[in-house]
Amino acid sequence: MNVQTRLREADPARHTDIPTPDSEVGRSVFERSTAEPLGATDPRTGTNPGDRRARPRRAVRITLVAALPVALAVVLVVILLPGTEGSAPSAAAATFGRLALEATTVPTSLGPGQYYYTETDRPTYQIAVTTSPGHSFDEYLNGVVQTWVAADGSGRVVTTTDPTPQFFTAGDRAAWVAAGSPPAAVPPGQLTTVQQLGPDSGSEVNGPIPLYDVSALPTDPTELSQVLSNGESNGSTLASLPSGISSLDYVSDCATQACALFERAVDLLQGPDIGMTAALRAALYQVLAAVPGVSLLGTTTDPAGQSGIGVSLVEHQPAKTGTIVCQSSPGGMITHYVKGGVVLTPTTGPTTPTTTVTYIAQTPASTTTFTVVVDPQSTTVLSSEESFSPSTQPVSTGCGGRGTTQEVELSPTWRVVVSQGVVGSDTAVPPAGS
Amino acid sequence: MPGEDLPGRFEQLYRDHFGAIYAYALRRSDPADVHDLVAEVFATAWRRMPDVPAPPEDRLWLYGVAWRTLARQQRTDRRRHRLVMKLQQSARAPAEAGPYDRTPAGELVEALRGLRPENREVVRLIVWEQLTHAEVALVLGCSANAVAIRWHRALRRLRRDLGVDPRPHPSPTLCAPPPIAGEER
Repeated sequence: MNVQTRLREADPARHTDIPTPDSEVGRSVFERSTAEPLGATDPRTGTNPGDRRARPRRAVRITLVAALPVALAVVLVVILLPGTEGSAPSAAAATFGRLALEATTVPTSLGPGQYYYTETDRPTYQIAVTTSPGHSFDEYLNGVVQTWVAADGSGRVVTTTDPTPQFFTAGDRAAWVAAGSPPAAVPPGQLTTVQQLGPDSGSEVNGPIPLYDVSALPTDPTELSQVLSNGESNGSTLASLPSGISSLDYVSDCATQACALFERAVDLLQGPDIGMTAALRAALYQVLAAVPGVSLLGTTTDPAGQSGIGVSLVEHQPAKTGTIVCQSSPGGMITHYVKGGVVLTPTTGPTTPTTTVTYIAQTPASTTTFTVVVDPQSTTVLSSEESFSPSTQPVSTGCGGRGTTQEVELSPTWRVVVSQGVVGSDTAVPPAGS
Repeated sequence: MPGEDLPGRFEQLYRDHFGAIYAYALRRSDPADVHDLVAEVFATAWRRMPDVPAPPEDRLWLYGVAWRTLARQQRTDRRRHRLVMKLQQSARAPAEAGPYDRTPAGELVEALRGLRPENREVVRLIVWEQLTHAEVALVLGCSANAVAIRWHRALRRLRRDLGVDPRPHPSPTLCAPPPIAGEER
């Protein structure tokens, strides 16, 4: 059998039914795709989305939650407002300024055969457990993720998950106890996963381990701030940040440039990086000090129990009322426009007769908090965390749900660096306390 | 263009190519991420309707968006973390597990995995999406000649890895990550 025939037979889509656009999946994906106003003008810049550089930053966070066995999609929309602009230098800025003065170099050059080792603590599984029809609780499992990455991006990732159920809320824990404290339903073989990555294993899910090459970044805080503000935190452009840090141009939850700048600077400080210098670390802290709206939390304990100086950035979203206009066209497809804050008028009416139904969509007030904990001695970033308040939100199910709402849980996420350092093989770990 | 029925055009685009983009995503993503990828591709089209070319190039434009979206989604540990956090309903492996682990043709899958990402994408677009070299060139933003060279190299490498031709061959990168057609103009 020749290679091409074998390739055709290995097509993962070959034996899978592809849903039609009119199926439940097709309709729910359609609704998610059109959740934003079409052709909206960015209220901040007054520009047209056709211009790539001035394209409005996407202010909508969409999370798909498979809530029902039929995989009915629920669209979660959290809209973040710009942070406080032009506030006076804060205690947080002063703290960052002091950290900038004390910033030291961490060992970040990698020779042949050397690996950068990072051990992080973070949730590895989240499981929604159904106790009875209509009743469920969320549990999560914590894991330790060890990565070894060489200068060429090759390396190894070992994820070790603790099977003890953990809970984001007291309510979830109570529901778990009421259900008889069942063990987490993770097959034992899945608790430890090992992933080997070669230099050519880029792209796809087994992407290269992010290792930021920061050697070309400017150490002048103003210039650095400009570089990090390039690109779009959630746009469709790739590699608009300099090579070496372009992987920071990921889909972000940030609505504002300040928030994106904050996240990127924190990511670079948290690493792993190669080519880091004390001057660049100082500049990164100065960039953070200049981000409007940061606040000092004082001594803070991170999710892994490490103690340090906590700093947070909060994005607020007031309650909002919008309308969902559903047009049902003769073919059965439904187009909807969410109108909230942005006035939207279709440039032309529909070309075919349609029925239009309008629903009121209410988005409650919410906040997203980004918290960073820094070790004041080593000036390393111990952890970064995102949390949402309130932790559950009613979300409109849009046209498909005929304007009904559903509660969706917003779970916090975090990444805690437990230890890191340069080691001589992809199985070695740095000595304790390093 | 002003006065154009963009919602109508979008709906037609969606009807015409939902299946193709769904299959594309299925072939390259973790199953849990297929819907996310398809929605992201069409959300990009929805935002950029004035830039979407007329048929038959509209499908190629969508493939280009999908390729870039996939690359971006998978670039960071952080993003992967978010994907893991989204898992609900039942316990399952973290998103780090590759998309091909579950397909039966293990040897071929391993061989495909051994290709450089851009060569692998050429193979997939030609064999699975059944595009011509010229169409692949449009999707990936390189010349048809570069596509032909990549295709040739990829096949040679696959034959070698599958035991037909044991000689190793270097395969330098021929194209940069592609821009969305029309985006940079």
